[in-house]
Amino acid sequence: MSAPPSPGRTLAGRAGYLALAAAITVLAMLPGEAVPRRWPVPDVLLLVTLAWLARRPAHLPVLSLAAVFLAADFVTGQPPGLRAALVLVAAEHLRGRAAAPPAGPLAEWARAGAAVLLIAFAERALLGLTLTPAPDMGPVLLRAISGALLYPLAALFVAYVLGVRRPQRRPAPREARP
Amino acid sequence: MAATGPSATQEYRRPLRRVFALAAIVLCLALFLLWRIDSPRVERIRADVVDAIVPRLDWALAPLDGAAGMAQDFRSYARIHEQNRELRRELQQMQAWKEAALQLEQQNARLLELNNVRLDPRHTWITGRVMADSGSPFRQSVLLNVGARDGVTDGWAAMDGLGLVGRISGTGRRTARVILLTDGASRLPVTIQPSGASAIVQGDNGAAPALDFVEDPEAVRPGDRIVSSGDGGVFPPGLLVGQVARGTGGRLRARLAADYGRLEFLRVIRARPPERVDDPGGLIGPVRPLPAPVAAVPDPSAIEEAVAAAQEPEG
Repeated sequence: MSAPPSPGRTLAGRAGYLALAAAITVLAMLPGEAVPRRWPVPDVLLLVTLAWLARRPAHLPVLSLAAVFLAADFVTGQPPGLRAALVLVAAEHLRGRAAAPPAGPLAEWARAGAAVLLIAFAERALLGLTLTPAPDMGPVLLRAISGALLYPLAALFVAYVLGVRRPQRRPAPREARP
Repeated sequence: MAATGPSATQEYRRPLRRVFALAAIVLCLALFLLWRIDSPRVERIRADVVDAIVPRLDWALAPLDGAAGMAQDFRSYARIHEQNRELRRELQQMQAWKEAALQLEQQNARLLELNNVRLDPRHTWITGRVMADSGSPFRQSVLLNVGARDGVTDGWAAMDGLGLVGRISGTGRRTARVILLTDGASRLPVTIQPSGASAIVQGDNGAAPALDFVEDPEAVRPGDRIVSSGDGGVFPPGLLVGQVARGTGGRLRARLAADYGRLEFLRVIRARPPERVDDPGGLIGPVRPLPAPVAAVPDPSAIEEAVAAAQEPEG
């Protein structure tokens, strides 16, 4: 495992992410109860994306992130492009962090939770700024908070069910030096 | 910090990726702004995207859909006893209703015969299957598998067997989106039946949309029937919406008649364009002859003649 991730593995990871994102979107669209739920479910796609990003940012290039979230915006009837742009901003920020030496799981949780909340607030602010009719603040906030709280589940799922782990930091540069 | 080969390319690649990411972000925001400015065009793109993606998912959706249905059925087995009792009670009530309905039917037939009424031709409809949900908790909509190919156009009403479900908003070639009455953007002018008060059913992402702008709140009681009023030419009048209920805080709400728990097949009602009155005069008074066209340059002698002729009877 200490070998550098081969291009093939990275490609497989990218394809895996795209497949997972498509599966999540389709599952969310399953027809069934059209009764609005009282408790807003967290945004699973966003949580899984953040968890994956914290482990293997190389699997989530900008292009596939943009494609996934744009398609989700389009299909779910949200304002197109807004959430995609915000997720890309958050992803670029977190990508820099993922390259740094890993902090504890708590720090990862805090960062992801903050990202989820900030995305919700920024989305809300931009909707207000452009005078777009927006849903009530209460459910939006509940959804963001539940997402921030349930992030560890997404992280566990990505790490142990899908087996996406951080590449182990190899001491290669030190070895290269005599 | 020796700049070896891979780390050097890494260093070139990083700013490049940043620029690329920035471009993607700007593009997404531009798309959002474009949507805000020119919504219909982007919504048409959205309908096309959905049209392209969702029918391909059909094969994947079908088994998943079945599995979800089975899970729901299984859950309902768990409370079969309770359901059984409930059904019995309902059956009893239905017996009473049946009796009443039979009597009313006879009465109705007699009255119709007396009046020699010609009923409106029934609205015709297209039935579509619900393919997908909106997938977002803040958008209450479903996708149907009928679209522009079947003649469906924006603004038509969609019903399940019983009551109004929503309106078509966004049609692709093979799909159409139905914005449900519960959606936050849905507004529907209605009439509340016995009192005839008009009101607006206003969705708010809750199970029971609110009743706003009620004409005469005192005359409206919980249990009253709500039907579409046809005001503004939105929907054909007289489609059943639901019943009045009193929600928390004493606010009037509409308990929808359509079974939102199971939307499988929806009827899309073909709306005939409302009759428009364009010419004002046709109905008022007899048609008068228009004044004869006056010659472009009147002859002065002709005018004098006419004046003389006009004065002659008086003199």
